Amino acid sequence: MAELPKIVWHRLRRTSAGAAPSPAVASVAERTKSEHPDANLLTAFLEQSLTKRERALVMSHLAECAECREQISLVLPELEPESPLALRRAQRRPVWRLWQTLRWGALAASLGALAVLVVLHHPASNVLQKVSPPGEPASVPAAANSQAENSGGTPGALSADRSVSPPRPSRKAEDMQAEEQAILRSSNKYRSAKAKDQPGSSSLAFTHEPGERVAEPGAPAPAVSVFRRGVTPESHNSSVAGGPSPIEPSKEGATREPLEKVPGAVTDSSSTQELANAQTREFGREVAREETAARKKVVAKGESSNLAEMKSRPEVAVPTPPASAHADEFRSVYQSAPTTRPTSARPAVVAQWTLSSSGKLERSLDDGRTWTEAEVDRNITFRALAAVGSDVWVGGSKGALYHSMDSGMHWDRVNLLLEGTTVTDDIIRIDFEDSRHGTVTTAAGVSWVTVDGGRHWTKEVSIR
Amino acid sequence: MDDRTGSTPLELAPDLQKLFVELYGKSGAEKFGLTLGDFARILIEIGAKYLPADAGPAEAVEFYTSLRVEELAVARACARANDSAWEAFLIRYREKLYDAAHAIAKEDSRARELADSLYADLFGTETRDGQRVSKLNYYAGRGSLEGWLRTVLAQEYVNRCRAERRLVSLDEQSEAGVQFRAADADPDPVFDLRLEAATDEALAALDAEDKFILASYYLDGRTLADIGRVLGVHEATISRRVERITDSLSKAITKGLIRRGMSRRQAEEALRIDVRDFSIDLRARLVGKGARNEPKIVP
Repeated sequence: MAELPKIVWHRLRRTSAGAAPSPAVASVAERTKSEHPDANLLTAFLEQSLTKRERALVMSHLAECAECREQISLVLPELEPESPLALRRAQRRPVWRLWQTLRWGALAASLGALAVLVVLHHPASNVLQKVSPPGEPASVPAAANSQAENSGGTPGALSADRSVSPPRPSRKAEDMQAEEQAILRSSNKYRSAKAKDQPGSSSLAFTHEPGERVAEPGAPAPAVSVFRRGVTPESHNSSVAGGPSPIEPSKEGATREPLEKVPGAVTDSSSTQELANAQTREFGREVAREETAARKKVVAKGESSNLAEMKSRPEVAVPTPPASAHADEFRSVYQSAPTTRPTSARPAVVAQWTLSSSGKLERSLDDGRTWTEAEVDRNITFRALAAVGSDVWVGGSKGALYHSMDSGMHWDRVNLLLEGTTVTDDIIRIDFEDSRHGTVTTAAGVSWVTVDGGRHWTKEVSIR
Repeated sequence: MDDRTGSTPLELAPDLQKLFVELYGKSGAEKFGLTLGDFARILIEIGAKYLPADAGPAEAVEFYTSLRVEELAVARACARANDSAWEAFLIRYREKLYDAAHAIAKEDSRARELADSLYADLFGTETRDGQRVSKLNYYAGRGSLEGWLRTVLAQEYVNRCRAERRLVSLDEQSEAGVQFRAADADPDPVFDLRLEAATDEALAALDAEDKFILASYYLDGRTLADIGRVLGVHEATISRRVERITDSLSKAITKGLIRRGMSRRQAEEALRIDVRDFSIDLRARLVGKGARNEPKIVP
């Protein structure tokens, strides 16, 4: 950093410390020094909400008042510490380094694009992409098309939906759920076939994260939140019941031919593995075709009035269709989210959160100028809130605890279980120091601690 | 205008009346027991304090529209001891207050003490003329209530630190082993009067924001990131500005010295070198590495 001439440092210090300034600046210093801005002005200054004239006055005062500068430095909330390397880079960045970085960045980007193309065009992974969580298009009807547009040409399901006939008349929510489960069952069958084909290979269709949150026993599987996490009803139920559920035959579409009779399969008896692979791929294509057909129905219905029915379920968190006044804001937030892995979605807009006096969760996307209610659960009065980056935790009456990893685009209900019984005490405090480590406290004085972002919770008894 | 209390109606321009009614509805003040008249009086009091005397109607409308009326309603209703307002305040701000105190004071016990003390002031433990005196009456809705609470906490913290410094006992310090060194023999270096005048002239010509950046960086030792956050820009921008300001200051001072009769070489030398400053690396000077390698000024 440039060196400051010593004389400048001394004169600057004298004016800041209130020592007698030279005649050239006497009137300005005396005027500004004597009028410390009050807390309202300092707050508005930091939040960039002063008028130009006021800002100029406050700025000229701050330039000469070390006390007020110290005060505003205390008011600023702490940021996460940056690595020294990042700081050095920010401070000094020679042009040649920039070009070097750009060059390597371009190379990495082209390699990444090549890898994506290879994956997309590979027959096996093509099928796997089509069986990504079906709940997503149904739960985010407003975003489904934009996600499909951004998916880089995901074949089949989403992109094909735009060419379907107009939505059919609405059907009951139970029918929707049944069809979604049929999709999942047929996908599971594919997964088991593939696993049989390649023992030890992990399923890529539904990434079943170990130790996912345990749902309430006996409760209907929430259509949105569970699917978004990649947990199928079967695996979901099995996590409660303690064992894998048997694969049920699909009730949809064409009958299945035994694997051995799949046409076009390799028949060379000396390569039974190749035969099995080919059969599996063929089977997978059939499954994908059926799923595409079923998904069209699901998405079409999701875009019709069934959205209202889905909303009426008590534990389903459905993002509201963008209100007309904020449609552009919301659209930009949805479009910035990745398509196939919503769990890793990180909207570009930084949201602020608060709880209203009536216990509703509110969000602001414009630095607190306007607030809109976030649709989480109408039946809950929220009393505690914590937000770390795009991770938002909100809790309230009857043990209700919700978590969003993408600034409120999607919400998961988290149920704290104690010896098989769901905790129903009001949640009155939530503390998260980062996205993984947090504590939730109930009105009964019990604290629940997580160190893995809410996948596991440990009960602690607070000592008062 | 009907203020619903039967008291003397306020005299306001029709535009402002309409705006006040709109803001009253938006603020939700009614559910906290504030009438339209109460709310209008609060707005007028804030306008009288912050609006310039020569503000036109459009400026007044813009000013009132920019206020955080919902938070203002909560704060002022709390100052009037409204229970539902306090409930709302506690739900929204209780944890944030303690977190802010912790961020300022760093230490748990001090943070809790700071927050509890502010709570008492917000609640209003003192009375004046039979009325409870609450600090929330000073909140004007210019910024967020949370930001205002942080600022008030910071003010309180700075005041406490200063009070503690003043009350330090010299005997205790001596017993604790604190060494009191003698005053510097030459605390302030004496500069050429022409140099001082040229420097003051150059500093006076600086933009207030530039001066703020210089003071924050070189005097207060703030990081570029902190300064950037205050001004709402990236730290890289601040870094470039510091370079630019320092460079332009040097040039301005050199020109000022030339105007005062020095040659260019003399002016540059006067700016760079002070032989009484022994923090300068004389070896580097003797080897003749030039100005670039001179050490940064260390006070």
